[in-house]
Amino acid sequence: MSVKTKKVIGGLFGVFLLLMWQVLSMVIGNSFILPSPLAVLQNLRENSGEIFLVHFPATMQVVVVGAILSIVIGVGFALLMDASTIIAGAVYPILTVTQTIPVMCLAPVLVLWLGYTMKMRVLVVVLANFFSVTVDMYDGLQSTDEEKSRLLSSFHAKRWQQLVMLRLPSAMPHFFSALHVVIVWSVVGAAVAEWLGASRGLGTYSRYCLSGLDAAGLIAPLLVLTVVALVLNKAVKLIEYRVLKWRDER
Amino acid sequence: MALKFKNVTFRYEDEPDCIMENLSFEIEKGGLTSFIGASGCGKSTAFRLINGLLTPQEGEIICEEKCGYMPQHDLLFPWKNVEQNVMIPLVVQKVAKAKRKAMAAELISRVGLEGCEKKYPKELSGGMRQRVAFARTLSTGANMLLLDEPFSALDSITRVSMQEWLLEQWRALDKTILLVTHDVDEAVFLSERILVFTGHPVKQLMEIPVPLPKDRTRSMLLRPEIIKLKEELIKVLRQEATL
Ligand SMILES: Nc1ncnc2c1ncn2[C@@H]1O[C@H](COP(=O)(O)OP(=O)(O)OP(=O)(O)O)[C@@H](O)[C@H]1O
Ligand SMILES: [Mg+2]
Repeated sequence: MSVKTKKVIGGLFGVFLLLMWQVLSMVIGNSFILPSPLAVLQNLRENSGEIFLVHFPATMQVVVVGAILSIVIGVGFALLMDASTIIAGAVYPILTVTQTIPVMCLAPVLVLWLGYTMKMRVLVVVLANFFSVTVDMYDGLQSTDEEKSRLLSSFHAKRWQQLVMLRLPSAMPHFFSALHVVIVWSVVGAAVAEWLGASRGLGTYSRYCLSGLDAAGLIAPLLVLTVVALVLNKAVKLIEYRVLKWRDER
Repeated sequence: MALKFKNVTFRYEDEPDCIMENLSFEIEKGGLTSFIGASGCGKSTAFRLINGLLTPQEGEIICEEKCGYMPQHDLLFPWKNVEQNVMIPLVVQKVAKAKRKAMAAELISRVGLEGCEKKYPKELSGGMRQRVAFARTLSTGANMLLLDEPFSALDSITRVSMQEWLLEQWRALDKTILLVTHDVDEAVFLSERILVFTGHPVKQLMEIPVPLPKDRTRSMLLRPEIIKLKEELIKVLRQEATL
């Protein structure tokens, strides 16, 4: 099946689901339980000033800062582990175990320590991400072709040259797959942290609407978050395509 | 003397058997010598030892020249284009950018790949990739070239012209060349001296001098003494293979 056909099929199915949603909500006929997609859009338009000028920037701040920190810290750990087998031996098993802990559930503890601050929200995002970045990046660095490394050694390359010329480029595909995960979980993490409590943010807004039993208002910011994640993912895909154009797809 | 193996014994760390045992041989400066032998007998290992990528458990390897290693698989870096791949050794040696670009351009035209500078390895044929790898080996500036089956991936026509090209380079450049090959014709046509790897572990190399002048032509391979030499060589190798 060609890429184009796949896209068309995916798009059609999406439209179908939206239609089902619309029909279902009309059958239920109760906007407290299931607001129709049109109602959600309506809500979004009515409150667009508040949503896009107040809450959206606040959330994006957490997403961007959190994502960047996740990547820096995650890659940093991976580099340390790659540089020293002792560090790797000590840290790697713990990392794989902690990966199975649902970090989101620890978020309330962070509230206890840091209060309802930007720091807390960023930390939630970082904790949600950095293990998987580290593991992905470390695996990438470790998957470097031994023979290529030997070849570089025969040119008398120093360790840092091995890293810059061979190991990091080898790990690039892993880095990008980590990046895709980071984007999704940064958005989710930011929303959850705001849900716990924040003065502004899409998560906060959504929770506020919940207390007012405004289902459409609850969903509207989630819709915005979804679009944000999709757009960011597409942007990363475009960069990935350019950076990894050397990849042999055969 | 460019290279000397003195009673070298080598075994891979996690392997029970030695690859070579008490092995001694010498390589003259400026010569073109072929290593020939059955698959897995340790030719590539010998190259890694010469290069210092491996160290022998016993014995001594004296190598006075700077070595440029061309691996069996081209090992081009897929994220670098042809020019950047050729420049890898120059970048490692921190040669200034303008200079390394000029050197790379010269080497790329020397291997007949002008116009492909910006292509990525995935866009090249096997033969072209091998030539890029060759140019990269030359860019190390080494006086001793260790070529591990450099032409085995090439189609037979390119292969023949690359062999002639290599001979030309060798005559012009005053470099010591060590060549691993599986091909008896190639060994005889290219080398002054053939060293045959025999036995497990390899204890000594059987030496076969090739009675051809430096500026040889392909038609000289039809001389009766050369045909006889080739037949002998094939006989030795076949014995080895059935062992
Ligand atoms: N890194 C390694 N660790 C352990 N054993 C190895 C390693 N590399 C090669 N060997 C073994 O050493 C032996 C010699 O290998 P080598 O690559 O030197 O053979 P070769 O003569 O170059 O063969 P070919 O003609 O197939 O390239 C083989 O039996 C191989 O399995
Ligand atoms: Mg080999």
